[in-house]
Amino acid sequence: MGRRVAIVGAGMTKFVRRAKETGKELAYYAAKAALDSCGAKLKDIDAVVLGSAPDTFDGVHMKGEYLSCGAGAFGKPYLRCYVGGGTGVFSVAVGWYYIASGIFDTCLVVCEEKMSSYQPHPQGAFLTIFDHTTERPLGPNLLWIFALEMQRYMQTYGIKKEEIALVAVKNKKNALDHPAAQIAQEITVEDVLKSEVLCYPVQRLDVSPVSDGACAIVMTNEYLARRFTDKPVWVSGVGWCLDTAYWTNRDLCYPRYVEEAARMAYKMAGIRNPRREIDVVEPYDPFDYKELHHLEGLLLCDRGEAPQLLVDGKTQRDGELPVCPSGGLLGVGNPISAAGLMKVIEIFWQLRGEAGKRQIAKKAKRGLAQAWGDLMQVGTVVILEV
Amino acid sequence: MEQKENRKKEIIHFFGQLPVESLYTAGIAGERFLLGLKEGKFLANYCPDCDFVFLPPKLYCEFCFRELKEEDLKEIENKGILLSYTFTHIDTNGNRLENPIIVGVIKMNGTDTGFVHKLLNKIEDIEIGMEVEAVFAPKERRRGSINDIVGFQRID
Ligand SMILES: [Zn+2]
Repeated sequence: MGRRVAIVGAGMTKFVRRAKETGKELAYYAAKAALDSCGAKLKDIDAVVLGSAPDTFDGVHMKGEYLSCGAGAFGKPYLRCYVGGGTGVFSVAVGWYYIASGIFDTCLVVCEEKMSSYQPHPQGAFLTIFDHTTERPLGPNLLWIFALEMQRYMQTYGIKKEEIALVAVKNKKNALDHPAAQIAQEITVEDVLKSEVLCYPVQRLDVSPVSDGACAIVMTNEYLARRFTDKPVWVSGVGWCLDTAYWTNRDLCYPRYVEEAARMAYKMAGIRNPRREIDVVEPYDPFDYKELHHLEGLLLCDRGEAPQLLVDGKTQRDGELPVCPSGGLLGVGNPISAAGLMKVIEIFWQLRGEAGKRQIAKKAKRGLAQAWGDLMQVGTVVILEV
Repeated sequence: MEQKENRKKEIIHFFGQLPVESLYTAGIAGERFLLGLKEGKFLANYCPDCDFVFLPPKLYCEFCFRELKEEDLKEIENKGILLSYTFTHIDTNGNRLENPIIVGVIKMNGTDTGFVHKLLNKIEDIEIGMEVEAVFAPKERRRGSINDIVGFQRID
């Protein structure tokens, strides 16, 4: 399977509603922080991978080229990768194969999003993802898809809205301990249920915010890792998979694409029983029900059983399987690609014991980060271990 | 193919838009630069590691990744050399312009970068290598924009 690949440094900006910095400047701050965290200089980096979601958010076409100088790409092999919301985790898979293949010894992975540029609301950037012949004439809204999925998920397994709301309560509270968090707060299930209905059953507090921010990591191989750090974190598995392009033809209550991506990553990592072998997990949580949906897709519990783990407190930081100890997208924020990489970075910090007040109670040896995106059909998974 | 089909019967079609409107921030370095223009000043910054002067100034040196701070800003003189120019006869939609727009790339003295802007002289008075200076809008009309510079003109 090629060379062993390590993450040796990580950095991120704060996630905010509207950053004064340009996208390039955000990318720079994250990239510089990642390099500084492991004593690396730009000249130590062989190649740069950039992850960023649609150009429309930043309002700059060919955003990869635009952001390149802030990502440290001058004079280096450079590639932008993009699988929608799945980009942040996917970019780590790209960095992984750069290093595993032996083409490069070191790689800087940078993810940036500046959603605040889009006016009046970034939601509008999604209107044209729908089929122009059969869907756009109906005047669709992105929330339709999530609301229909959520409804189907609740109906199939008899899950109550109160149970799903617990995800928002947990994640926003976890985010209180994250220095980069945008919307950390202590709320109750009641607050979620009373919040504005956006697209039934999706309510305001079920949803992650619009954010600006950037994240970066430094990756290298097994031979060089200890030059940068005493505590390398190994990438033991990566996986990604695409479901059908027709969102109506997917199983609305089960993310098969996540399962396929997870199976690929588990196989690579030699994991036979993920429920026993994964100590901490950051599933993608742009909506509260998605955290549950994805835990099931990751095979970390049976279908329809994720809400029970939550209700039993098992997914809290001191539980058997801490889930989104960072605070997730619901609490830290959701600058699309950067949010996915933030999840990988959280696992990196958790495994190194550097998560500060967010540090989970159990000793963690292996963790997983997952994201989801494209036209709501891609699953991306990265498994890290120490 | 499409045209041939079209003669037989109308193709069912739809009009739609990709509606995009953006709000851009000038950024940390961009704001420093634009506030300078508002004062009628060119602010550049210097990377001592690379011995390189950026105009407009940047937050970071893209070559070595050094952070360039407020104190690294320096004012440069309003004088430069024309590196290249063109006069454009068409607008972005391909329509013929009554008066061509003249743009040039200028290397301001003391900088290592090119600066693009309009040229105010008549075409026949423009030549590569000529010395130029920026003409600023009257102070009361400057609002912290690249258009606080009306354009560049030849110095004789
Ligand atoms: Zn430099």
